Amino acid sequence: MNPSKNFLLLLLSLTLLGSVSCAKEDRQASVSPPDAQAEELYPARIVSMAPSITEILFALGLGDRVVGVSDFCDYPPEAAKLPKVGGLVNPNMEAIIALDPDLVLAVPNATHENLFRSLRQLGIKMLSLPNDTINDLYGTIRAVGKETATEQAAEQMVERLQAKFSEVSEKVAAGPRRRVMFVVGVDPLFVAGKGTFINELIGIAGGENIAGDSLMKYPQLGIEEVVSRAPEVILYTSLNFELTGEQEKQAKKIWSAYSSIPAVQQDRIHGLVADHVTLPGPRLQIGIEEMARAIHPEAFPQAERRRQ
Amino acid sequence: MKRLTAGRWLLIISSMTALLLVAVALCALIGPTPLNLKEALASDPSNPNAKILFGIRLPRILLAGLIGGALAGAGVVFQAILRNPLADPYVLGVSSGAALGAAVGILMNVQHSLFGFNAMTVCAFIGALATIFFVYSIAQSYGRVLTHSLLLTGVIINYVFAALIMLITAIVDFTKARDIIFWLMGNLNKIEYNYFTILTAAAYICIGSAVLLLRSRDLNLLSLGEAAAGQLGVEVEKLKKIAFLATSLVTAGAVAEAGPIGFVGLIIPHAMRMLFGPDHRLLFPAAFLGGGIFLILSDTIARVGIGGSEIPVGVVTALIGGPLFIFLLRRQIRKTG
Repeated sequence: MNPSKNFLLLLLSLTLLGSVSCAKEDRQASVSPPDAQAEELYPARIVSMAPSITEILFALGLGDRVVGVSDFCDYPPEAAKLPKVGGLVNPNMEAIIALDPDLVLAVPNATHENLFRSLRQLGIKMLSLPNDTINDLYGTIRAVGKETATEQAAEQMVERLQAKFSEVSEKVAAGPRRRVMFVVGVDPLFVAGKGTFINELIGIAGGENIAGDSLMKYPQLGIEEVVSRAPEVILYTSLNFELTGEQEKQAKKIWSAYSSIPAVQQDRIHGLVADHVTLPGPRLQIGIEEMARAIHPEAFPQAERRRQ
Repeated sequence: MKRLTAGRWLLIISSMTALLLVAVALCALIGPTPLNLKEALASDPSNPNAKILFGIRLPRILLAGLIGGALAGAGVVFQAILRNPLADPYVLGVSSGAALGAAVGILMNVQHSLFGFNAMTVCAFIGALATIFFVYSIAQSYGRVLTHSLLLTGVIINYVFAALIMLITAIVDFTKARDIIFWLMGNLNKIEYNYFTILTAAAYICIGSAVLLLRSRDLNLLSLGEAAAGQLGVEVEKLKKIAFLATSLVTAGAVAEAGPIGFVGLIIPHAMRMLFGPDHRLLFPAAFLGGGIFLILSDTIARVGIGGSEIPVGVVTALIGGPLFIFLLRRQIRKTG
C-alpha cells in the first residue's frame, strides 16, 4: 500500500469519526427541549436490561429517554422497536456502550457484577433492582423515580398498584381460600413456590399456593404431589401475548388423566396472559384481576358476563 | 474368579431378579407424599392413593428399571466392542444426537406426539437414529468398521453437537432454554405416564438386548483382540456391526425417553465385572438387572427430593455411583494385590 493511499484512508476515517461525533451531539441536543433545564433531564439516555423495567420506564413517561432495551423487551410496542442490547445473562457490551447511555438499569443475576464493573470503568452508572417480591417492585418503581426525577409519578404508580391489590383482595375476602397451583413449565413440572411475587399474587387473589411451603422459588413437583395436594384451581400462562384455543385444549388434555384433582373435576384450569402475571411491572394491575377472576369467578359477576 | 457354570449363572441371575422385584415393591412405597396402601389397593381406581401408586409411581419405577437396564447393558457391549474401559452408551454420539433432536424440537415448537410418545421423545429418537447412521457410515470402509474411527467420530460428533446445542440454548428465550437444560439433565418426571408407551419401550429394549445376549459368547472372544477372535471362528466384522447397531438403537430408545442420564452406563458394567467376573454371558444380564435396580433406587431419591422439589436423577446417580464405584475398585485392588 503506498503512502498516499494510507493518507487517504486516514483522512477518510477521521472524517467518518467526525461525522459520527457530530451526529451524537445533534442527537443529544434534540433530546432536550430548549426551555427545559439541562440537569432535570439527566439521565437522558437510559438502557433497560429487563422487560419489567422497560415497562416501568415507559409507564413513568420516560419512553423517549430509553435508547436501548434487552432482547426480551417487547412491551409497549414502541419499546420493541428500540435497539437491542442482548439478554440479561449475555449482555452485548459493545451495543450498550455504542448507545452512550448515562444510566443502565438491570435486575440482579449471575453476571450483573461483571456488567456493573465494566460499565463503571467507562463512567456509566448501573443499578441492579431486585424483582422477586411485590415489595421489590415498589422499591424498583421508587428507585427508578428517584434516579430520573419522577418521584411523584413513581409514588402514584405504587399507590395505584396498592389500591388495586386491596380492591381485589376485598372482593375475594368473603369467599373460601382456594388451593391454587401456578404452573411455570411442564415435563418436568415446575410451579411457582415460596418467595416469588406470583405466590403473593395468589394470596391477594384469594388463593393458597399448594407449593407455598417450598424451599425453592420454583420447585420441580412430582406429579403425585399434585394429586395428593389436590389443587382446586390450576393456573398456567400463555406462550405469547394471548391465549390460544389450542393451548387451552392441550392444558385440559394434560390434566384430564388425573380426575381425582378438584380443579380437573370442576374444570377450573385457567390460562393467564403471561406478561400480565409474570412480569413485575405496572401491568400486574390487569394480571391480579385476571388471576382473582380465575380463582373466584363468583366474586366478579360482571366480568364473567363480559367474557361470555 | 470362579468358572461360569449353569448353576452359578442361574443363582446370580435369579437373586438379582429377586432383588429387582424387591426394589420395585419397596420404592413404590416411598415418595414425597404419604401413601395410604390400604386405600390404594382397594378396588376403587379413582381414589387418589390408587392413582398415585398405579398411575404415577409404578409406571415411573418400571420406566427407571427399564432405562437403567438398557443403559448398563449398552455400556457392557460398548466397552467390549471398543475394548475401552471409558466407553459408555453415550461415547459414540447417540445421546448428543438425541439431545440435538430434542433441542431442535424445542426451538421449532414441535408439539405433535406420535403413538402416545410425546413430541420431545419423538424428536430425540429421530436425532439419535440420524446420528447412529451418520457415525456408522463415516467409520466404515469397504465393509469393515474400524473401532478407533468409530470412537473418534463419536467423540467429535459429541463436541460438534454440544456446540450446536449451546448455540440453540443461547439464542432461544429463557423458557425454552430452561426446557433444553432440563432435558439435558435427564429425568423420569413426566406429567403423564402411559402404560402403552412403557410396554412399547420395554418390548423395543428387550428385543435389542436379547440380540446382544445371544452374542455374548462372541463378545468374550472379542476381548482377546479382533485378530485372535477371528482365528477362533468369530465373524468379527459382522459381530461388531450387529453389536454396534443393536446397542445404539437400545441407547437411542432409552435416551429419547428419559434424556441422557449419566453414570449408569459407565459404572454399573464395571461394578458388575468386579463382582461377577468378565464373562459376558453372565455380565450382560447381570448389568441389565443391576442397572435397573440402581436407577430405580436413584430415581426414588430424586423423587423424594429436597425441600419440596425433585432433584435431577443424574445428580443422584453420580453422587451415589461415584463413591460406590471407588469402594468396589479399592476392594478389587486389595484382593488382586
